Amino acid sequence: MDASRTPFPTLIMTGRLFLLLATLAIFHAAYSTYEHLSHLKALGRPGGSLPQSIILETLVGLVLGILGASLNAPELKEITWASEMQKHKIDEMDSRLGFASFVTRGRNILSSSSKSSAKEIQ
Amino acid sequence: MGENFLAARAHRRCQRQHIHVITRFADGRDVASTSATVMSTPTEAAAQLIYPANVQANASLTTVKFIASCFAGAAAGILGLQNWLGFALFLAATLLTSAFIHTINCRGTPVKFIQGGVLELLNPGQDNVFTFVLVWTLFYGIVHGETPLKLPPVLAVHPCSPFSVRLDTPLRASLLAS
Repeated sequence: MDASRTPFPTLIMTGRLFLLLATLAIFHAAYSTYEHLSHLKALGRPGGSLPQSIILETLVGLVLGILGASLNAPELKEITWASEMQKHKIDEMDSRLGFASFVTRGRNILSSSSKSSAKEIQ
Repeated sequence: MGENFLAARAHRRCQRQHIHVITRFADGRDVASTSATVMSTPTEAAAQLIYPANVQANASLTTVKFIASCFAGAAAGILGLQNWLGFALFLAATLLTSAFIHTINCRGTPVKFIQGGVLELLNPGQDNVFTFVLVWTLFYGIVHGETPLKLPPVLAVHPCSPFSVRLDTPLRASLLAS
């Protein structure tokens, strides 16, 4: 699936296009129904059923709208701790700062004046 | 130090303090012990394994459900559905929304992304029934209503409002007259 950061065309853009088309379809179907019913009322036989094309357009608008809304949503993230830990190192999440030791044995091992004392310790 | 010793120590620390302890072993493995492994209720145990920031990030699904309810209301209003037929359309739209979220957003495994799994998917969302009914009555009233659509008079005649219109044009005069 396309990530939301890659340039045109992306899944989110498809979603927005579908939402736009669905909105247009719904409004067009609404206006068509209004016109059709006014037409029927003018002819003196109100209460007729809608033409098949309007019903189809409405349902297509509905399905396309829901599809577009679903595609428009950003990518979901997994909710378990285990999946989050796949992306981080342990030090980022639980650094245990109380156990951090800033005093190392480099002082004894690496300095020249204490090389003899280090040998004695061993 | 033996691995068993470290794991047991983490276990005891969890027992005392009800926390999530992560132990690092020399070969780079990190093992988590939680008080879930000790004695907490199943719901607490399940909740401790969830990363809350990602649960909030997944709240974008409420937008999807809201938009779906709006479109369902519009469709019900346009088709002129009444009573239980309209709610049947809402049910169908909810099922369709769940199916789309299941396949497109959750990629087949909703348990990974949503607390409560599939059942939470089927939930149409907080207050979305009211959204559906609102849009349904709106579209039904406009499309199937007895009276034609007209602007509320407040917008048209108030002399000081930025929206005040000139009454000498025939279109606007007709809007007020009818």
